[in-house]
Amino acid sequence: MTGDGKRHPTDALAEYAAGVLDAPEQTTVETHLVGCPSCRAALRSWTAVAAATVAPVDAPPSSAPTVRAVLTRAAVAPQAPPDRKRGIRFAAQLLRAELRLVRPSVWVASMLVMACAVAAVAVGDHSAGATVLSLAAPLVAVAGVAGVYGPQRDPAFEALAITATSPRLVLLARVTLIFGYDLALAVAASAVLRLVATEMGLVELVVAWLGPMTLLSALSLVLAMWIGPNASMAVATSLWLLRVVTVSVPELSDGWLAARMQQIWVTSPGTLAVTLALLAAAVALSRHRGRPRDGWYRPVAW
Amino acid sequence: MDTGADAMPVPDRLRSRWRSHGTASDVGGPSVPEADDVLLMRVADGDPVALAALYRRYGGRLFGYLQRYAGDRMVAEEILQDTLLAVWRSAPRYAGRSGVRTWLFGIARRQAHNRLRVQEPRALPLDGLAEWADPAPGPADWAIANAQGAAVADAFAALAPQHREVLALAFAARVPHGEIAEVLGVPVGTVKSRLHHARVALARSLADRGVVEEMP
Repeated sequence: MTGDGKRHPTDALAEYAAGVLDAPEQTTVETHLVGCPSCRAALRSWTAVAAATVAPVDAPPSSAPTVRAVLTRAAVAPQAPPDRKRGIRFAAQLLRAELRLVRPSVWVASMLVMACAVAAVAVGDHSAGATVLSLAAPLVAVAGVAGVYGPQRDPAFEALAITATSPRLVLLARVTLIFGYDLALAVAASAVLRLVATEMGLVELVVAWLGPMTLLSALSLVLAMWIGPNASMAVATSLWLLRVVTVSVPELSDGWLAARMQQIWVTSPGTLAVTLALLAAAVALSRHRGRPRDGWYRPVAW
Repeated sequence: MDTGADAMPVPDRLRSRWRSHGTASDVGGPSVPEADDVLLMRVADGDPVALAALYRRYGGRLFGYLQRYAGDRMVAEEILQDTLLAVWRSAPRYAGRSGVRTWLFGIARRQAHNRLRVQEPRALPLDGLAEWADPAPGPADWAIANAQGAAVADAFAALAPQHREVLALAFAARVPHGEIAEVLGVPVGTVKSRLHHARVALARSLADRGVVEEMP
């Protein structure tokens, strides 16, 4: 009853019965047991439980055939299906995580600009629909994409620098998200305009902005990674301003500049090739993310 | 002190690494964490010999756990193979956050759940046992201590899965309570109380079968 006067080692009895205590703990329990009938009874019970648990267990299958079977299974059944499933789930997870990091103002502002463009066409000259969209959509996209990259714009930049997910993948997810959203907005705007201004074809509308939008976005992405988001915004909007004035200022609409602009900002194999090249450059640049000191990436505050 | 072979002082870290070729005079601890690490690293490198060694070291205890948990030898063998396959594949991802043994039992448990969830729709009620967990020895202890082998096996099979599992880990696999807590993802206190509940449930199960008198 009294034991050795100390606390009963009730909690240790099960482990003592299992034989997993280390030597000093074991000694403590044994010393106590000598003078404590109630703990001895409890131990008998744990010993019986242990025996009940262990007794019917058979010997495990022998090593060699088991290992051989496992290796055969590993070779015969590659992990592909669960891997792919995990890949899709991972991509979805990544997109969802990035969705939370993009500030709500980005979504709202993009939508407002597109809505304004649609409204301007709807109340004004319907035939200007394609031109207005081709001017508005690239600007919306470039604003979103330029802000995708860089410490100043990214509340999670520090955290991202130490995660296992590759920066390229994160960048890709974010650009996909924002560009996808802007693309959807532009398509929706085109569809609305098609309803309002029935003389325009939907394809015609989309072709008007698709090439310029992707080219300008890719350019602004590369610039954002190379010289920083603010500078990228400045350069891309300046370029775009040139395009806008050639359309909107009558005195400039017939000159050399206007001709060049119409060659560059179209949906054509040429612009597509340039866009792809710029994207490849962006991927290459993204490798250097998280190591701003090596000169490739300068987090400028111009 | 009395280790004549180890005349030179050896750092503890190296000593445990050498334990696989260990001298007989080594202090016999229950686990060899660092040698396990090395073995697992070799498994990660695709060494089948290391996998076999790991199996020889832990196969018995894993199988004990799985057999008591699954309640069937054939099923346990399948789960054991699944476990070894998962170990073979995920060894490169072992990060050392838990001990190798804990990691192994964690994998075995996941594989068991994968198989058993499909096979066996078991949901035994705990019938309010949580309220009368009594750590002091009582009638329950007499019941178990005096029961016979076959009857106990029957009563064991009738236990709730959580009870079978915690008993299997503690006694068939001889995993210390701290590690059981890690494997199950619960606090150590929960492991201890779950064990007590399991013991009481086992005694009650025996009494229900009329195998033993409640009190001597």
